[in-house]
Order: sequence, then C-alpha cells, then structure tokens
Amino acid sequence: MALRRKDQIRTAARQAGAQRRVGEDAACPCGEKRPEALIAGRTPTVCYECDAKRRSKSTLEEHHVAGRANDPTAIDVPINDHRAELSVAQYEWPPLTLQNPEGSPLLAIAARIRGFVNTLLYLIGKLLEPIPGDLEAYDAQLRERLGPQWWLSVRNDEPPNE
Amino acid sequence: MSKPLPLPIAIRIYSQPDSEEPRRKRKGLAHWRRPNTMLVIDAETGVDEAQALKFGAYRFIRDGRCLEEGLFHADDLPAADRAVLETYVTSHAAGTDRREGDPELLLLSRREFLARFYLAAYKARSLVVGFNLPFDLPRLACRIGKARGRYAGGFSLALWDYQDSDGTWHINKHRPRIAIKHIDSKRAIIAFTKTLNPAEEDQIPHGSPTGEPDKAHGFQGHFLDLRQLAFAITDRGHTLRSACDAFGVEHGKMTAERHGEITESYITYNRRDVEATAELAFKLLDEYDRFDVGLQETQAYSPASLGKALLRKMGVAPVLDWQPKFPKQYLGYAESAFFGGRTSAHIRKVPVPIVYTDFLSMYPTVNALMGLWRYVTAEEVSVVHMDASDASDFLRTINVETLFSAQTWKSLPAFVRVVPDGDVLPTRAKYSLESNDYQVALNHLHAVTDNPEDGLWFALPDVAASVLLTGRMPKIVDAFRIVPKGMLAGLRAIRLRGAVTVDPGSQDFFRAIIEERKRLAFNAELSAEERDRLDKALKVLANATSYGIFAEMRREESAEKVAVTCHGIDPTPFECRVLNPEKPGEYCFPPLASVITAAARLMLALLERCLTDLGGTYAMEDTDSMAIVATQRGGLIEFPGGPYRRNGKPAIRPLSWAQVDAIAERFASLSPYDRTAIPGSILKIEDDNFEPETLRQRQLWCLAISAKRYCLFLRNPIGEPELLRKGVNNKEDRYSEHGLGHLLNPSNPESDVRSWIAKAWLNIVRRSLGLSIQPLGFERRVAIGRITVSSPNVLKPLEALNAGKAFARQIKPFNFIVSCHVAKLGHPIGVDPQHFHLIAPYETDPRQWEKCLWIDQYSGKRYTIAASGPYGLRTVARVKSYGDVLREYEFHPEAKCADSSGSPCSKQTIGLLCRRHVAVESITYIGKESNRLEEVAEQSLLDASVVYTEYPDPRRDEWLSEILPKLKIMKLRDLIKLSGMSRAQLQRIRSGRRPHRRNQEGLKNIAIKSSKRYHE
Repeated sequence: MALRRKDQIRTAARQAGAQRRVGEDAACPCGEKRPEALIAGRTPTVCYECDAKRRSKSTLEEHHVAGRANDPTAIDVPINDHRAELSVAQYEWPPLTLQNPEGSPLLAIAARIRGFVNTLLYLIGKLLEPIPGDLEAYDAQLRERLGPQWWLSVRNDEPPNE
Repeated sequence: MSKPLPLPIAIRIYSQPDSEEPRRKRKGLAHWRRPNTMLVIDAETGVDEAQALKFGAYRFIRDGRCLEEGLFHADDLPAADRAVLETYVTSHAAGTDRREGDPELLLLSRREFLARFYLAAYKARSLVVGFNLPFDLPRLACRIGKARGRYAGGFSLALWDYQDSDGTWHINKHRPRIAIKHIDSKRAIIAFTKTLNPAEEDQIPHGSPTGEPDKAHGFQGHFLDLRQLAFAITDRGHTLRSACDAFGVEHGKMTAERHGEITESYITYNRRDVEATAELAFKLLDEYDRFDVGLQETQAYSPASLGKALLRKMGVAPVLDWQPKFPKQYLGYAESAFFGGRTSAHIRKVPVPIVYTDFLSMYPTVNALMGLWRYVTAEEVSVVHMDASDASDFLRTINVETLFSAQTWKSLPAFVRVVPDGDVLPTRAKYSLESNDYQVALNHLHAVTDNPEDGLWFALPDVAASVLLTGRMPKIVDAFRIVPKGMLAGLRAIRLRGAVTVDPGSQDFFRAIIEERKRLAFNAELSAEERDRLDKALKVLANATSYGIFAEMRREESAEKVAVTCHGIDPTPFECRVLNPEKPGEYCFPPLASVITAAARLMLALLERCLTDLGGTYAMEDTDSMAIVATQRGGLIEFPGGPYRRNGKPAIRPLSWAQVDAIAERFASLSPYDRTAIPGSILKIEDDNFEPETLRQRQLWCLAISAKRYCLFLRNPIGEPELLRKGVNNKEDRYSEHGLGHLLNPSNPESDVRSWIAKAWLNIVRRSLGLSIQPLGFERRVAIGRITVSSPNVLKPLEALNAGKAFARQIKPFNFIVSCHVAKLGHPIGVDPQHFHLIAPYETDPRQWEKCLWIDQYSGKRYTIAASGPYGLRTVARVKSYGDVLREYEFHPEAKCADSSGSPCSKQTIGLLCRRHVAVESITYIGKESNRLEEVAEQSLLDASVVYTEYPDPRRDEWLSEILPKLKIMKLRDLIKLSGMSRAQLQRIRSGRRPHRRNQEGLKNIAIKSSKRYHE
C-alpha cells in the first residue's frame, strides 16, 4: 500500500463511527469538533484537552511514532491532536504493520518510516502550514498601510509615515 | 326493462385488527441528515436461467467526489473471464477524483467486495445506490430465506459468510442480512436486519445527538433505489436510460453489444452504468430536495409518500389521528360507498367518429368544488344525522341546471342509505362467470326487498347522478352529512419546490396548486426547463394529495388468521378472523375518499346527460375522460341498435363539433379556479383532437372493446386508419396496452419496444372497418410473459430446479422467469384450472419455449407445452399463442354492460351497450381489490381470493345462516351418499369447520334440494 494512499472506505467507516459515538454536531465549548478528540458519552460534550485541564492533568500525551509494537520512541503532543490526527493516521496503516505481533524487523522499519512521515506531515501541518497564509495576510496589511513597496521604507529603518 | 339478474355483490369494509399497535409517530426529518458518502453498485449477470453474478462495478463517493472505483466478480468466475478483468484493470485507470481518489481501478472477488460493502453500507452508513437494487442485491448473496416481521412475504438475503477450520462455509450471524419486500415493479422495501450481538456503535440511532446506544435499535441501512425515487418524483416508471434522459444526465447509459459475455467493451458498459447511476443519483436528489417535503429520500416510495409528507409539513394532521373517537360506524358506511373511477366501453367494436374530451385535474377539481380542503384542515369533522326527507328534498332539486351551479356541489359531502329499485348506482359484482372477479359498474340496481335493512350506503354524488340519469327519486331510508368545524392549529405555509407559496390556512390547497401550475406557463422568470420540471412536480403533488391517500388501506401479510373488527353497512360491527388483514393508511378517511370518486362519477354523469339531451352518445369513458361521438357537422350515421333511423336503418346521432364545444363551455360555470390563471372550462377538448402543427381540429375515431381497452385513430382521405402515435402524429400514443402489457415483445423478446401492440391494434381497427389486414408474423408463437421472482411463494415451485445446485447456479430472488397462459380446454388432464399456472426459467430464445419443461406454480409438477392442437394432454398443456391472446383481447366482453336488447354483453356483442339490471343476490364484504395488480395483470395469480381479503359477516353469511342449519338436520347417511364426502369430513363440517369453496357450493346445492323436498 502506497505511503500516503488512504483506504477511503475504511476511513469513512471509522469517521462515521466516531461521529456517531459522540453524537451529531457534537462540539466542546472550546470549539473542538473533531469527533475523535471528543469524549463519547459525556453530557455536555467535552474534549480530552479540556477534560485534562479540568482535572489538572497534563494536556500532552505521549505518541509512539512507529507504534508501541515497533519502536519505543515517543514524543509529547497535544492530547486532542494525538487522538484525532496521529493515532488516526496509524489506523490507516496495514494492521499487521501497526501490530507487528511477531516483531518482524522489516515491518518495524516500515512502521518507523510510516510514523516518521505521519509525524512530519503533522508537524508541517502544525508548524509550517499556517505560515504562508499568515505571511500573505501581513503583506496585504503592510501594502495597505505602507504602499505596494512597503519593504523599502522598512529597510531604511525609518518609522513609517502615519 | 329486462328482469334484474341476481348477482353476488361485494362491498368494501372498514376493518381494524383487534390487537392493533398504536401508530408509530413519524420522526420527520429532525434527525435525518443525508450521508455524505454513497456506494453506487451495478451487477452484470449471465443471461441463462440462474442470472448469476458475473461481475459488477462500484464507486465510492464522498461529498460528490469519487474516491474509489472497482470491479468485482463472482467467486467462481472461470479463469479466462477473470483474466479479461485483470487485463482490463491494468490497462484502465479509475474514474476517481484526481486529488483525493485512488487512481487504481480495483478488482475484487465477491467476498472481498462484500467486505468493502459492509464497511461502506453498514459501518459508514453510506447511501447504497443502484437502479433496481432488488435485482442487484440478491446477486451478491450467498444464501436466501424468507423474511419475517415487517418484511414477511419478502426475502432475507445472507451476504456474509465465513469458513471454519474444516473449510466449511457458514453464515456470519454477526453481520446483518438484507430483507427485501417487493411492493410492485417500481417499489420495494429494503433494510438490514438485526445482527447477533451487535456492537454498541451500531446501535446508535442515525442522527442521534447524544451518541447513546439504543438496545432496541438495529441500523436498517440507507438503501436508495433510484428507480423508486424517479417514480416517486415523476409518477411514472423509468428505465435507467429513460431516467438519464429525463433528468439530463451527462454520461448516460451506453448500449451493450452483447450481454453475458465478459469483454472489454462490456466491462466499460458496466462501469458507465455505474457512472450514469451516480450522476442520476445527484440529479434526482437535487430534484427531490426542491420538493422539500420533509421526507427521508430512502422512504420516498411513491408520489403518495410525497403527498403525505407534504401534508405533514403543512401541519395537517390525519383526521383519525386527532379524532380517534370519530364514530367507526360511519367510517364503515362511507367505506361501503367507496368505488373506483367510472370506466367502460359504450359503443363496442364499431369504429365511430369522436371528439375526445377530458376534465381538467378531475380529483383536485371536484375537491375544490366541494370545498374538501376545509375538511382536511378542520379542527373537527363531525357527523350530522339527516332526515331521509331532507336528503330526498335535496335530491329533488337535482337537475342539469342546479348541477351547473357550483353552490350545489358544496352540499354533496354526505351519504345516504338507499333501498335501490332500479336506480343507476355503482355496484361491485361478479358480472362475468369466466373471469369470476368483481367489477365496478354503473348499473340499474335492485334490492331483494324494500326493507330498510336491505338498503345500501352511497355517497350523495352517486345518488344525485342516479337522479340526473333516471329522473327517478330513490327510496332513502337514512342519511348523514359530514361537517367541518374550526381549523387545525399549527398550520404552516410552505413553498412548493421553492417557488410556489401555499398557505393551508387561507388557501384551498387543491385549487392553489392547479392554479399555480397553469400560471407557470406565463412565468418568464423561469427557464423553460425549470417551468417544465415545476409543472410536473406540481402535477405529481396535486394528484398525490387529492384522493389516494384518503383511501389508503395497507394489507398486512400474516401467517395466521387475525381477529379484526369490521364496520360495514349495519350499525353494529362484527368480528371475524382473516388472513392478511388491512390497516387504514396514515391519512385514510373513507368519507373523503368515497365522496371524491363519487363526485368524479357525477361529473361524467352530467356530461353524459348533456350529450344525451342533444340526442348524442359516447364511445367510451375512463375516469375523467369521455370519447363523445361527434363529427364536424353532426347528423345521423347508421348504427346497429341505434335509437334513430336513417334510410330505414337504426342510427345514432353524432353531435357536431360546435355542440361539443358548447357542452364544454357549460362546464366553465363549474370551474373553481381563478379565471385569470385558468380561463375557460374544466372540460377540455383534448390536444389529440388537433393537428400538432396547424392546431386545426381533425376528425378522431375511436374503437372501444371494453373498459380500458380502446384505441383512438385518424382516417386518411382513402379511409385507411392511422393510430395516434407519439412522435408520429400526436403527443401521446392513444392505444391501450391494458391486458397486453405483460407480454414479451414477440419479435424480439429482449426488447422493451412495444410497437407490436400498435401493430396488433391496427389489425383490430382494420378488421372492424372491413379492411384487409397484414399478418403480424408472430401469431403462432407461444405468448410469453416475463415475471419476476418477487416473493418466496413464486420461488417455491422452482426449488426443485434449484435442488443440488451451487447457490450461484440457483434461480434467485428477483430473477426473471417466463410464464405462459393455458388456452381454454388446454389444461392437462386432472389439474384444477383455478390453481394452474406454468412458469419456466428465463429463456429469450423463442425456439426453446416449446422444448423446455414448464413447472406448475401451484403443484410444482412439470409439463411440456404446445401452442397448437385442440386441447391439453396428460403432461402437455395447450397454451395460448400470441394469435390466441390477440383474438381473446379483441373479443373480450364488457360483461358489466348489456347489449342493446338488454342481455349481458358477450364476446360477439357489438354496437351500443346499455346498463344492466342487477339484483342483489348476496353481499360479501371485501378489503381493497387493488392488491397485487401486476400479478393479476400478468395472470400469475389466478385465485381472486389471494388478491383481496373476504370478511365473513356471520349475520350475512349464507353458509352459517342458511346452509349449515339445513345440513345439520339432514341424515348423515344421506349426506355422505349425496356429497361423496367422508363421514369424518362431514362431521367436521357440521361441527363448524368451513369446507373449501367448491365443496361449499356442492353442499349448498344439496341443502337447497333437500329442503325443497322436505317442504314438498
């Protein structure tokens, strides 16, 4: 199975099940809507992160990058992201790779690569993905305030004319 | 006047099962959200009798984007065929979304596909979409059985199995089965059944806001059969091709060069079918959303479903829901006065020049005229008892003039009990010994005595029609009126299809919807396509809400007899036990249903009276239309049995076109519509009467054989007939297929083209005109009908054929099979003609039909057939050829009418027909007659008792009240001798066990003879 190809039907089944368990349109007051990040059976609806905060627990959770069965390496990630993104991404792996019951070294390597890619994509999504949009928004603001060549005035280290 | 002929008559009963569960509250759309995923499937099968799965294709679609496409094949597909599929998937890419979809075209075995199907249909709760799903789903099954509970009478399909350690396959009980219950050729109920130990997640109801599992809940699936949805939206049956054309699907259906053989082009054809189905699904759902009736699309079974949902949306609650104490006795009276539309031939088998007329939206029109919307939206509908003299006084005012006053129609929602004495009233009787079925006719009815107890209930419009046609006052012994009071709280205005606003509180819905339909033609803001769609939608909604839903009775399949309370023509109800009892539908309210159809009959009676006043007559009538005998200038034409004389011979008087126009104009006074929207009359001179291009009126001709069997045609300058054909000389075909529609095309059994019926009609017309006829070329072929294995009962006789075969090779649910019809005297020796019907596995090669073995549906015994020869032999049935069927068709008697001398119409009767005189011999209570209409039409159901339920009233049961007491006083020894029955059998009968109908007849004769002897 190609690295980034999803089993779309399995994904749909999992997502539909997750949504059903927490209820249609369920959302935490904090705005979290991803069904995997919400605790099933809670009224009112609450997400794992808010629940942890309420119980004065850590809002970070250990994520085993290659799966517990393949490698002990773990990183701390926000609890909601762990549940709704990184764990979910591992469900897309071939089940044998994730579970690796006999400890196959090749499957373990496959899992490390898959886990690395998943984590990298997650980090790209978290750390880099918002940046282009932000830069473009700042550019638009500066363009509005300082003109189309706003950087010329910024380079001169002179305060912009109000 | 000829002597009335005593006939057994049937009356509809209002019944309710004693142990009826309270009606489930409809959830509406509050918790319904259309799944954003759909699995579209289509299977291709072999063309042999098993019609087993060969291969199929599917698409998984999310938010309108195809994410996965694949092919699946039978588990035991031969290696050569599999190789073709394997080569295909390596050389073709999937038609999936470029960004998110899987570019690979998958190839799965049936079991592998079913694993995907389970995830998509059950776990992801996607819409399962197909065109004719009842056919496709059994191709995927590994075992079948009988469904139970709500789906009793249907099939239960096991799809998922597993292999144990011994290699044996078992049904996986942790996976659901699929239950399919056939309703008719366009509709079926499909659902997942409950599983063993379901996961909690699967017990969460769809749309649950809390995610709380409900132990009683079993997910039933979201099966969307587009054939059904297209029918619900358009009120007409569609094929995939016609639906794609009608809804503008871009990638419509392709044509297959050859079916059943796996080739590259055939695989492409199959994939295209799936693509077309998916596109059609979006088009239909888009159209459905515009109806905005607040009904889950998977539950839109018919236009009536839409109509009921629309009423719910307007806040119109069913009368019997908010008035559960409405006196049942009056529901019984009203139900007993219920009859369908008036339809019959009046001039038989003689071509006559006509003007074809029909009433504008007959049922909505009479509803509006009588102000029935007030009843639908009333806070209370009450029964007001009337003095018989008041009813008589009202009827005395009835004449042509008063009936052309709209005000008169407001007084018509009432019922009267009449002791008929030759009055012209609707009657449901067994007019034909040959067909032995109940037919409704407007005849001169006579009660046994003039005792009030022998009176029958009729809707007031029917009695008014009698007064109008006979000029006589009937003997009225009782009467009541229904009166609306107040208005329902919570009525809500709606926008029909997003374009037309109707306020149920201030507008008459029936009137508003017809007016808006007509206004559309002048609405420049809408595109022509949108106007057309909206017009059709409003027509569907108008028809769906104006009559059928008030008459709806639902037949429940039951394995055992059920106790029911019945309300008939007597004030007190009776109890009896019946199989397949009926329950009133959601909006069922017999007083409205009966008065609506009666008013439509009154409208036709008024038209009849108008033209007979001018000396005219008509060729036939059909519910809301009438073919009036008319020529451009009128005059007299020679005619056997006619009341006038021309050249010393009997003649009839055709009206002139101008006279017909004048009659139509009179009906303008009854138009309940806004004249700016619908100017003119409610009686329309149909478009068929005009040249399509020049719009000049042309002379139409009509040849009628019997009710619903007629043909309209033109005659060219040399007198040759030309049938009215769609796309040739008219907008519509105007030759009826009634009675022939179930037969395969004899020239090409695989073709749906029905032009052979036109050819047959043309010959019938030519013969009636004394012209030469062209041989059809298929007269000697066995007349073959195609029927569907729609229930376990149809499949049962085929079990012997299935025995010992692998499941894939067996004949399965919803397979096609062929049937033929046994000719008169053609039954094999020793069989019961009432319980004999031959079927055979599907075979489209006509050469094989006389060679293969046919199975009697009732006994399971096998026979061969022959389409020639005088009679049947021990193992050979002489069956009808197309020539036989067409001859019978041409001579089909209009048994409910009399010839001009007053004798019952026979096969040889031609010319003017008139009304029969019928005396009530006995009364039988029956349920609705329209069950399993298609099976009756295709003659796969010969036993009428299977079609309708009889409700024996001990007080009117001749067996209990007359025959049995006589049998009890006879000596057993004599009875044994006279009947030939065994002692034990007769003892059982005398102690109360009812014998078979045939034995009942025999014992009745014995009892009557012995009683006569005793009195002598």
